[in-house]
Amino acid sequence: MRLHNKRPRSSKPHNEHATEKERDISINSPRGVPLLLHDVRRGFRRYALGYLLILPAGLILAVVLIYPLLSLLRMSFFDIEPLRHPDPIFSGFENYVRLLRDPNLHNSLAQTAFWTFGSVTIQFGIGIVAAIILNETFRGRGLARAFLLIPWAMPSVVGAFAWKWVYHAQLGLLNHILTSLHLVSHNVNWLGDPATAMIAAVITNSWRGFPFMMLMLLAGMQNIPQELYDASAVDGASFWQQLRLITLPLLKPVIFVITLLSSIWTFNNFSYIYILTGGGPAGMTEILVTYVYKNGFQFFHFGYAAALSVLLFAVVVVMSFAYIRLMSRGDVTGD
Amino acid sequence: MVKLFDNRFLKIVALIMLVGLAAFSLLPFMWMFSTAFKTPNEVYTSPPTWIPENPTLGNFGYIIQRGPFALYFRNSLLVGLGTTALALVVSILAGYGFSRFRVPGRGYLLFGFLMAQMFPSALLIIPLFQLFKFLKLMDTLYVLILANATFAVPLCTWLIKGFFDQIPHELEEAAMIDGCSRLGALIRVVLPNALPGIAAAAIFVFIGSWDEFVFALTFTSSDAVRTLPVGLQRFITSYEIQWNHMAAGTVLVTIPAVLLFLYIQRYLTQGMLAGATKG
Repeated sequence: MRLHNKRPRSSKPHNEHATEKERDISINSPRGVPLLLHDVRRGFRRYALGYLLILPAGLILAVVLIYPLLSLLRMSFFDIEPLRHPDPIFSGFENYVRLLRDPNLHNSLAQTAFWTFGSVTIQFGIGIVAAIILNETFRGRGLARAFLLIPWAMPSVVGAFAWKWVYHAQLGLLNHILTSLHLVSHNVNWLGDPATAMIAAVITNSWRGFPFMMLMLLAGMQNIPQELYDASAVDGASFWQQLRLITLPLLKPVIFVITLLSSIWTFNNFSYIYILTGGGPAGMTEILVTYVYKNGFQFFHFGYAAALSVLLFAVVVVMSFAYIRLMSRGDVTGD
Repeated sequence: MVKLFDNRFLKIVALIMLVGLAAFSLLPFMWMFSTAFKTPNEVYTSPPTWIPENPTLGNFGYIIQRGPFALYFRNSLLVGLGTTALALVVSILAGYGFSRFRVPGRGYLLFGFLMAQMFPSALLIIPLFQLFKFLKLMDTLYVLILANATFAVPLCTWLIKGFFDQIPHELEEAAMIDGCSRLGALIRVVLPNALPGIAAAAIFVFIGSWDEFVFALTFTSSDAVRTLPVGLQRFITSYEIQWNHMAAGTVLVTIPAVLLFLYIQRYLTQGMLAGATKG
């Protein structure tokens, strides 16, 4: 803080819950006259100014977020196929009935579950191992930390392109490494083979996402009081016992939050799948977001795509609510 | 604390794992980086080389001069700066409003701003496409700035509100007693104190916009307004893929983003954790 206020009252840390009245009494004009009355008169203007400040941001979000969401809901009840008929035709719940019967959607829900669950699990696995190791003190720790952050620091699309090149069937690095170690006998078309495409995509996304987990877990570990470890060491606890009985239980709130947040991000992630496989081969990597895009902008089934989006919205809202509930319990940062 | 590294065996295992993880983290990008300096012939030789035999800058020269890459770069820069400017102006005002005024409904509004950050872009492309077509904004840079506002404004507002919360009221109250207006106090007293945080928020938004893919893919169709991520994607689909050119392009895209990332990385955990708890 650059400015220092010498008055004793203000040296007390700012309390969010102090009432307006308390705060007003504390302010005195240079001549020592209380400003209380003056501030009461300005009470109305306070609220008005508050709303006025929020208004521009609120207006922008109303136009680009709230209105689109409402129009999405409306569109989902219409048959909108600009290639077949120019005007939307009201169709009631037809699009929703189609949702239930669409085998491609059911496939894409299964792929989405695999994509999300697989990515988050691997991200967490790598993240916690990396965090445990980096929580030790050793030479070169800073450098190692910087290296492990690189996947997250790079623009995400660049990561997708880099992996696409690594997975290249004839010229890719992965096939070269595996054949020279005699682990595979012939080149595998990782992104083109239905059996491996989704796993390859999950690994790419795990590569991208584990540094976030690592950073958050590391931050969480550094908040655990040292006394707990000291006391347990006196009692003869081993490293594994400390990990199992102290570190992991105390990290639980952080773990909940980061896995949920990462699930939301992975569920929402469009560009990785689109760049790596475009949803192929044979729909084996078709996740919900790419399926929405495909229905809208390749097949031009806008009405159906809107109904799919409503489904997407419902899933996101459930996950976000869970996330926000967790965060607002406040035990994550300890306040 | 019992140290993992007190046990010699575990220490060796851990260090081997660490080297493995570092390789996993670095190799894809190093492979791309190495390819960016190779001649076309060398790209297609087997076994591949890590260090180019005849290192060349030709790939960079090619994509900068021959392709529309320079144009994509300019577009990405303009969209990034435009998104950042728009988000900063409205978010500084809103962040200040949320931080200092306990207006009725504040909790719900903040909740809405938080929720907005969770919506996937794919959710909005259908209705935004219709809206922008109606407004005749399709295939312009403005449309990308507006669309990016869907994630930039909520994120930026939350971050900046968090930074404002850490600045004591007394500072601006003192300024107001000395004759400043509310907005005067915001500009002269609060902003200078929150400057490092605001710079971090600006960079967050810029990187998000630099990286944005779905909106750019859906709302632009001509080279004149195409941004880098979609431009690079076009290298793959529309021309025969020249991996050496492609690699040079990704290296150029990466450099500014990584430099900015290094600057803000100390805010990452702090921003993510602090932002949402202080409702």
